[in-house]
Amino acid sequence: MTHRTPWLLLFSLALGCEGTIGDSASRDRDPTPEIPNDDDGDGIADVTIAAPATLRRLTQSQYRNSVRALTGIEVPEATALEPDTASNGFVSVGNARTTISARGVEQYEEAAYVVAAAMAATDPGDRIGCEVGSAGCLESFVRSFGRRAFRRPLTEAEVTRWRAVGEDAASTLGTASAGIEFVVAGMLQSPHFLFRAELGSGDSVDSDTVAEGARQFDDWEMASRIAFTVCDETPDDALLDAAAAGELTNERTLRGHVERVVASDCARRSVRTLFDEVFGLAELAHVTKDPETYPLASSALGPALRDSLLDTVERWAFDEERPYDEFFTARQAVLNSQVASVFATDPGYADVGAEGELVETATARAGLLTHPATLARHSHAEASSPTLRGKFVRTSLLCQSVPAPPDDVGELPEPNADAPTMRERLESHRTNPACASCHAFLDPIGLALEQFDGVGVFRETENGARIDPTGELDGVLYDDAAGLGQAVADHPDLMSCLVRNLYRTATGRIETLGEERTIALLTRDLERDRLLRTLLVELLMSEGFRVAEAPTAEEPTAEEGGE
Amino acid sequence: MRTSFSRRMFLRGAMAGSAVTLALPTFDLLLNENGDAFAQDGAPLPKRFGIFYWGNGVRPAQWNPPSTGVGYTLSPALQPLAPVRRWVSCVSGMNIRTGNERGHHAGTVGILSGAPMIPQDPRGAPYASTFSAPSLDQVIADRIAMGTPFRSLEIGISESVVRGEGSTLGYLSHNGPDDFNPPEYSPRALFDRVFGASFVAPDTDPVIDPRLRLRRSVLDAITEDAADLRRRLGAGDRRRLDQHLTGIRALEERIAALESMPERPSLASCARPTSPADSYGRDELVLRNQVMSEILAMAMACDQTRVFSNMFSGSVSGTRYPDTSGGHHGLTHDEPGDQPMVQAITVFIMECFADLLQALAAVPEGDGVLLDRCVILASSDTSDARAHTINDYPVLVAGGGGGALRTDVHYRSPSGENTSKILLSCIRAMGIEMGSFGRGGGEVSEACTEILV
Repeated sequence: MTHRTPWLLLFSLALGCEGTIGDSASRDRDPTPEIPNDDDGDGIADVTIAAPATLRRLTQSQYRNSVRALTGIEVPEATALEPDTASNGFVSVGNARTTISARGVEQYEEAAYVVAAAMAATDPGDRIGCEVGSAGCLESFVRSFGRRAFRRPLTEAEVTRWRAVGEDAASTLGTASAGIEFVVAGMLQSPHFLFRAELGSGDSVDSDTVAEGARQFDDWEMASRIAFTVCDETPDDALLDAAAAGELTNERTLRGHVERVVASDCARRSVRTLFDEVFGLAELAHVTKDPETYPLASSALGPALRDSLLDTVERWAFDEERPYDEFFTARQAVLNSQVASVFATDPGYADVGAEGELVETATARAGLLTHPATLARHSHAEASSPTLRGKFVRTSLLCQSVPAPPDDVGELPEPNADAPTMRERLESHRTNPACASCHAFLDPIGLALEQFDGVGVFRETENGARIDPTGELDGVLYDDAAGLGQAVADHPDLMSCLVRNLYRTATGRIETLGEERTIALLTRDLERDRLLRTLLVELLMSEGFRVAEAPTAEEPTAEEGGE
Repeated sequence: MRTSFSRRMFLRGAMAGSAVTLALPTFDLLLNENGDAFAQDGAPLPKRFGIFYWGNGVRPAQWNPPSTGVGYTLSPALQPLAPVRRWVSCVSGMNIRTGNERGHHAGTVGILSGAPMIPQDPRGAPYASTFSAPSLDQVIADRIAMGTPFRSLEIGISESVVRGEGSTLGYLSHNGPDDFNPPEYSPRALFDRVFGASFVAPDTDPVIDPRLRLRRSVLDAITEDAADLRRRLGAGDRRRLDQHLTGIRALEERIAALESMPERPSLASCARPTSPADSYGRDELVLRNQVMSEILAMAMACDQTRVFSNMFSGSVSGTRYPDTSGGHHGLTHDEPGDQPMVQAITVFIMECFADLLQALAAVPEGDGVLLDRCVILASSDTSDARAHTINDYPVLVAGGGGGALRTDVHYRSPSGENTSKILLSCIRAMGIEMGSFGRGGGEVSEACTEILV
């Protein structure tokens, strides 16, 4: 039953023939509503209303990075862990809502003993810090390892509890190193390690710009927030020492620490994670392109394209200090063999780079919208999709919302003499009033990218007809993909959307109305030099990141039955 | 009990070196004077419950059987069930009554929990949703899992799962909102979990290993850590932590079971299967489903669990099936006309469902087979995927239910009855007394009696 027919892909081409959407641009969809409590009318809310803090489960990468930092031992790649759950586009949002399943408990236990045994046996980073078996060594290890694992000093009760576990193990198994092993294995399974309890445990906030009832995150909580947000791992000793000295709740001393962490190499992780999630690239690991349609298709293609895009972003953000708007216009990409095979047929492409190098791309290819990872990800298994690509730009890069597609979307005409390319075939969706509300909003973006097929290979014709890549984005007309890139780079929502995306992944939730002040201020900061590093620093310094609604630890209800 | 070998069974036979082979012990059934089945220690054999679930619905015209009643005519989509039809009933013409706020999401939550979904898209953020109530497998596990090493086992077959839209599309089995039981996709990992080092075979001696007690004392310390943390949390986070603690207690109990001779029914057909392969190459979906079904069957024969779910493919899954030109979800919307490829995929999925039933029917137990004491609900996330409908929902109920289920019957509702009635029928067939089931528009107090004895 193999058919090679061109009727496919109607579904995502036929998005959103319902919902009430005004004809003018994006206002109705923009999540930024009228600004609350803006008495001075400067377009920025006068006060921040702190949002509630929630317990956040470590993501898989945070768990692996933290275990490595704590023990010097790598969690074996084959070790399965509780899966991350992405929600609203971000794993950190999902993991702030979900918990650890019974299966996850087993998996964390297994991983903990593998790591703990290796650490107790070899202590590769000399983290134990005393002669195992010597007087006081176990207790001092419980204190030092516990401070790093739980990201705060242990209480005396905890020291007693974990020292007892270690002593029991050492005497039962007859070796002092068993004490270390069971303490490590245990702490790595504790909810104090597996969950980030950043609950707003600091002082009440006394500020003209923060509404009453807010609490600061305390120094230890700030150390944890900074380290996980920037480095995707548990705080190092320097941050914990700063917390102990009270330097992370003081605006002046905080800045120095924040700048140090953002300048460190591990900051690259947060930018990679951000772009991985905003561009939806994890899916490239599973996407199987149809090999009959795309000779380049292989299981290696998707992961390599993903690597190239993230390598490119990392290079731009950290080595080239390139402003964010140029991410949509710069004619560069980091090369690997799969990307090179996509570029090979670009007109005027000079294949002079080596793997891992940031190379010049062809004239037609400008910015991340024309990177093959973006193009392949927002396409179908056997065709490109102007609608999916348009939806990606609207929702992920500009933070505009697009309604769900209607239930029965009808069919797209097959290519014919009058309608050889996608532009003509989609015409009805843009002229039929029922469909046009969304398709006129989405398709002109994607049609500008039609010169790139479903794996991102450049083409000038489709079904023998010349592809017309002209279009319009919110009033800006352009001739081709490079013009679209420029229009996105200049779009008034581009910077605020980057702020929103980073804020969402950093806080583990969708920003509330009460946090619009922080979003607006960060956008203003970013617009100054448009550098991601600036944004990271200012994010960590921002009100929204440092305050939470006062925690409400309630007494257990009768229904819950106090345990 | 396997009466016929399908083409694909034969294929697996040819690859038997890499597949599970179950070493069944000598048939050793015990009957009491009434001919009822009992375990060797005299306790009645337990009932089991399972869910088989796939994404992207059916072609209703080719799904609904053309005749009703006992011995109904199988529709084109149901043909693969012919060898096991004596255990399979079909219910059609019923509607999900919890609303259709979002295609696929609403159907998933409605058919699995009888309750409305919870949307999670504050301020127009990219869409996500979750369950508002536990899924049926967990409702039943609450009542029947007592004392089994695994409260329930979850498996998944196709890994092409939509992962960005919250828990509804990502997971089948839910304990509540944002609280789910992730499936195991690897046959080897499932095997290791159930039949690995922690498996206590019948009539074996307790394990003497001082590390077991130490592992339990570590879990005790963790539980004390959690109690400290719990005091600082609001109600929502407290529930999340409590769920984590439930998992810790389950692990502790399993470790304790290794240290003492467990008081488990000693079941004649129970044996540790041989370890499966890591992967199955080209026929991955078919073979993974067969092998994991056989491990599940043996897990139940050994009373390691009494509840399972198989998310064969997730809601909105873009799984590529053999000999089709696109992902499943895309095809349901894009394939023109009568959608022969979509129909072929439904047939393929029903072949795999038949394989699951065959695996359960292959284990002798008491005076019959394991499947005689099972209740299995099979359904999807929508009826006609092309239009995201939730009326005339596709539902099968399989297994003998220990005599409680009327089998090989097709009931077609003349009035669009509430699909929750089928879920309540499953609950009652499991011997659980429950007056009503479901929430909101999904709440019912009457079961679908046409499939009950």
